[in-house]
Amino acid sequence: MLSVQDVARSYGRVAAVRGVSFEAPPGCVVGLLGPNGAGKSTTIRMITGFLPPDRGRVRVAGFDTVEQSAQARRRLGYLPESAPLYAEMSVRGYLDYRARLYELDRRERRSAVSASAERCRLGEVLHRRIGHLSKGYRQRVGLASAVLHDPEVIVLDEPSNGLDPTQVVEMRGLIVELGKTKTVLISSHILAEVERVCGRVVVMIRGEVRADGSPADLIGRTGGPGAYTVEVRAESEDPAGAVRAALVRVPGLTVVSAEARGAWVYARASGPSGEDAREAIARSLRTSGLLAREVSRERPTLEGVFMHLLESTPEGGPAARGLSGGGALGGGALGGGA
Amino acid sequence: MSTRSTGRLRFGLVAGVVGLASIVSAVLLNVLASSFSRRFDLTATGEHQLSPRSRAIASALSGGGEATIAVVGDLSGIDAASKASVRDVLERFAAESGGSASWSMIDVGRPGGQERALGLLGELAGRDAAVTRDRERVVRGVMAVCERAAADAEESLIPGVSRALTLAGDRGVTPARALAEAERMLLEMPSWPRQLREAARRAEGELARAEGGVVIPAPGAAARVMASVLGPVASALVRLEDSLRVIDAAPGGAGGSELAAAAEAIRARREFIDAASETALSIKPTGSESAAEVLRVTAAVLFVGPTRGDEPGLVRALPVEAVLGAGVGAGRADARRQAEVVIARELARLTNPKTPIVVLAGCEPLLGGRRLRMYENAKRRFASLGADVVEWDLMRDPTRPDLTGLNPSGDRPVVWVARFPDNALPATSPDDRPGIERARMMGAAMGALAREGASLLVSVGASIVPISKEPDPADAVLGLFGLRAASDRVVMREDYDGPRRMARVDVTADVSAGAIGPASAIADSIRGLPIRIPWAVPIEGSAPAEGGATIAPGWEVATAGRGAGWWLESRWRPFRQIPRAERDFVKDPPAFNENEDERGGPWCVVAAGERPGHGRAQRLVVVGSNEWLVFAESVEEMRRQGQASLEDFAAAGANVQLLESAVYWLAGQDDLVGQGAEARAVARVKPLEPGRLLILQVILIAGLPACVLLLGVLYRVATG
Amino acid sequence: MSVILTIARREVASFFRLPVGWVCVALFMFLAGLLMVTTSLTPDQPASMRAFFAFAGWLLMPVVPAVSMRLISEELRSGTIEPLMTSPASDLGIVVGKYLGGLIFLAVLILPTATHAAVLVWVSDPAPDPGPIVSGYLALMLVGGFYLSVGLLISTLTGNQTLAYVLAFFSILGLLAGPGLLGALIPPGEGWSWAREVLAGVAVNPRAADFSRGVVDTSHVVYFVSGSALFVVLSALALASRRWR
Repeated sequence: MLSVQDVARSYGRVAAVRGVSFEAPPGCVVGLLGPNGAGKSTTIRMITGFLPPDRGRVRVAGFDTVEQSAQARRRLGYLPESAPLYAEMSVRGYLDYRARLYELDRRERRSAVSASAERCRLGEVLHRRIGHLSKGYRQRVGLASAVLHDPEVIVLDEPSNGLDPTQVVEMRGLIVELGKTKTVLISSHILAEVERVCGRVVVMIRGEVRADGSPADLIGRTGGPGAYTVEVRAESEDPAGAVRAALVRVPGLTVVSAEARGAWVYARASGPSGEDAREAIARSLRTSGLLAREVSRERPTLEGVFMHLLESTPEGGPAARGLSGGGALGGGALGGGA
Repeated sequence: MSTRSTGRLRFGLVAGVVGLASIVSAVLLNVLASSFSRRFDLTATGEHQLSPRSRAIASALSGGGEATIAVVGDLSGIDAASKASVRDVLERFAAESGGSASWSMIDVGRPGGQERALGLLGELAGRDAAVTRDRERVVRGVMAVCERAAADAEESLIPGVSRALTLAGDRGVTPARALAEAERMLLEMPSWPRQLREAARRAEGELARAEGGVVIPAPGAAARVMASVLGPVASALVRLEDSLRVIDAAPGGAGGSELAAAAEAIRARREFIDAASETALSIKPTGSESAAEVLRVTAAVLFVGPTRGDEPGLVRALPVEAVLGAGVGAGRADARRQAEVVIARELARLTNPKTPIVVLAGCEPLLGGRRLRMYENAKRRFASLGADVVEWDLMRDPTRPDLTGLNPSGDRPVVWVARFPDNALPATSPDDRPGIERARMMGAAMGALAREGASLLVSVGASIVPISKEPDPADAVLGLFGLRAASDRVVMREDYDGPRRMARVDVTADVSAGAIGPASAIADSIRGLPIRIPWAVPIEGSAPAEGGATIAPGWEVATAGRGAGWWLESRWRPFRQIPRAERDFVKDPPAFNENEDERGGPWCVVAAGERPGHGRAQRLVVVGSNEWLVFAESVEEMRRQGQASLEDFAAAGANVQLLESAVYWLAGQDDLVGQGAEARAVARVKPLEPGRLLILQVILIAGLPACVLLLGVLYRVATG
Repeated sequence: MSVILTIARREVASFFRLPVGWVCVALFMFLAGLLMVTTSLTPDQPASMRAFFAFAGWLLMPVVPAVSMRLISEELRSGTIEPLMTSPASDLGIVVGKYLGGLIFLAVLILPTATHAAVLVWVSDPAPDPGPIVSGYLALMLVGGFYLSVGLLISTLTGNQTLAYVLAFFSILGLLAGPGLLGALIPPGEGWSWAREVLAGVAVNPRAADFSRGVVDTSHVVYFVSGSALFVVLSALALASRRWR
């Protein structure tokens, strides 16, 4: 169980995270999505307790990461971005060291190390030096160390960063498996990964949560306009104009383009989101006596949603607001503290 | 600033407070630690501790006002290690005194040093002000005498003598020598007024003496200047008076009354000047004066005693070498000990605790009317420790010296130090007596003392008496303690220089392993020191003596003769008569003779005994040699003249340590018995062949690091 | 506590898994050997390691920064500080663990010089007094520990190991030579005696010299231990402050 409530953090005068809130229940993989510099890593660091938030609070399994830092940290597993590890140590040595840090006793330690190594398929490299391992293995060592102490909340920052496609698939499998019982938070900028793995997506842009929900939900809710492609036989003198006229009749539909190419007119239109306008389009074409050989609707993707969100966030706005709003937030927090 | 949050602010505050608190508590902790510090000496020899004696002296200072020790002068020539040692010792003394002793080290070569030194001298002069005024008054009196004598010489003395001599010359018949003497005097006399006035003028200068703007009157020097003129004038007057009286007494004297009157006038003047001269000689330099005087010549250590009432504290100034032991060459390991001994001695002198009275009894032959001055150095040494020393020459006056003047209340411990004379010596002059008689005199006197419960330090030498089956005279004392001196035989050692065989009598005694009980305190004080016992005779336990005294176990303090090559020689006398320098070259040196001599040492050569006495236990220390102190003193003398080698110094130091420890122990002041070695065997690197040394060096510098690197490579290979 | 030991253990092991650890030991052995040969191993000279230990302050100067530079800087550079600081280990625990690890390594570093003492015992007659040698080693550890804490603080301030080494080196040099140099600048006179006293109190060398003579003064022990503790606490604060930057 992970709960993030209105956390904010600024570096100097730059507000990196400005009031982020979300919750993640157990048995759920949450994807933290956002472009570079959106404040994902800062948010993650606040969740892991590496950075205390300027404002707001994070609870890991019910424990505040600032007030009850020790308990919170004990229930959290963390794989930082690019999995920093001690190159000179052996895999087993490192896992054993991590287990000791979490104060597991000898028996627990042994079983935890072997279980996590098995889970992350590290058996064959257990005695190798970490520095000699491939990127994929290192990432897996990082993951193994993150799940070693059976944490309730697992935070993975860019877990498949730098992995080759097979390794990516393996990594995703591991995450999905973990997500069955734990609260897993992954940050990523790979949309397909998030869509594939996460039951829930939190989109961050410029330090704020812009969307939060299941991928389907998001696509449904903020999935962006429906895009339609129509191919109609060009029969009249102005085939494009005819097509355009027919399409315009469909309520809510905007014609993006219509052009005749040879015997066919290719038209693109966008309709209101959340509705399927194909039937109405076909009907309207038929009414106009046009022969459609294709009326299709592009399936809305997370990418579309993401791009839509990104485009709809005013450029420069957040920074300006960060400056002006920060003072107010700071003041409020101060007042609360006193 | 606008983005500051509670958390950040709180962290900043907490961090600031914690950081500051840590710094403050660290500083406080260190300040506390430095004022309540304890030092632990890990050296086996207790090199960095004060001996119990030094500690007792230092703590005797507490409550007696402030004593100051200052090392002043150009200290740049002194090596840092010695300076550090002295600093360390001074610090220990200051700490032990509970704040009553303070110390400083003022290097005039350093910036500000000169000012500090002058400041110190000025302060001393201030303390001495009252005494200085008194002495100045006396000095001025003597100056007036000088002036008056000068005027008198010009106005009446010279014309008077001249007139008297003219009259005597006219008579024709005069003792020529006396007349010539008187006439020579007359020629000399006109320079007297100038000399006397000059002396007074210089004395005036000494009284206004200043060092770098600080006035430090030197009444002592002023008095010395005048005494140096008054003395010769007085003795010249004696001779003149004698001459005049001789002339006057000559037969057929005319105008004899004139001469007699002149002689009488001269006598009166001579007495007057004599008195002035004596007064001048009695004027001691003040403390500040002598401090300034020593400092003019060399760097010095000043010991300034606590002020008691109106009396300014004593000031002692010693050349810095005396404390640092400079010139003792490689004796740096001993620099600290040396400093400690000297400082303790000087402090003891300043504070004057209940010191023992030491009676040095001798019964030495009279050589041409002069007595052998056996104990001169010992006297100085004891005096410097604050003890009073009384000499008792039995040859001059067999009655016991009266000590009531020194010991009116009778509570000061008295220690009798007796050196039994060589009893083999015949009488050397008509008023001398043979050695055997003198030895018996000594034995009788000391035996009487011992029976009365006195504590004694007895030195017994090789003796001819037991050969005639008579006990050694010293047994009159020793017997009371269940001891006897087997003085008919001498401990000797065989030595070879190539094929040449030599017999050696310079015995180095070792502390006896069995020294427990009464002997242990002394044994501890000399442990590790080479005690030189020349011409040693064994001390043995005797049958239970009168009064039923039996010797307590552990009476052996030091033994000699462990190992091969040692024996007890019975025919030692001819060898002894050979001068010391020639003994090694004697053709037929004494050798072990199965019928007469004895092997199987070690033999006890220093013993200590105790028996219940009147009030407190009566004690005895006996050394089986009557040359051990002479030897020590001669080396001591050599050292003062800067000739001694380290070995000699250590040996001398050891013997003197034994003497000192014995006296304190006999005085019942056990806690003042020195402890630990004054000089210890310093561990040295053995001489190594150059090749072997090189190998060692290479191993240490290159071999070991290479080994480490190799080990690293192996480890790396082993662990992948 | 177990967390501190875990961190210390890892630190020590890490030194030996890397060439730098072995090079450090070898370098120290080389310097110590050189010092030993020149000061103490002269035939017919007093057999003691006094000069060796009196010089220990300088001997450690190039070596301790090499140990301390890695302690935190390396973690900052590689990013391993992040999993460490999000583990249950507290900031103070991390710093103390690191310090302890460095200290243990220092002990391991110093230990082989026991061969020097052994050589001295072997070539000298009679055997040298063991007291000053024992106190000398104590001094070496105390002085080393103090330097290490200074290096630790510097190490938490920068992720650049070279910079950490250089800064630590010069800080130690400052501790060694600073009081003497500053002392020469203090104008003479009683008014400045407090400054002289402060400098004398801060100076490391005279204290180390006391140990080398076989004197263990509690105030010196307190100085080194409290100084080390102070810098460890400051390091913990510096590390914690990284969370707030």
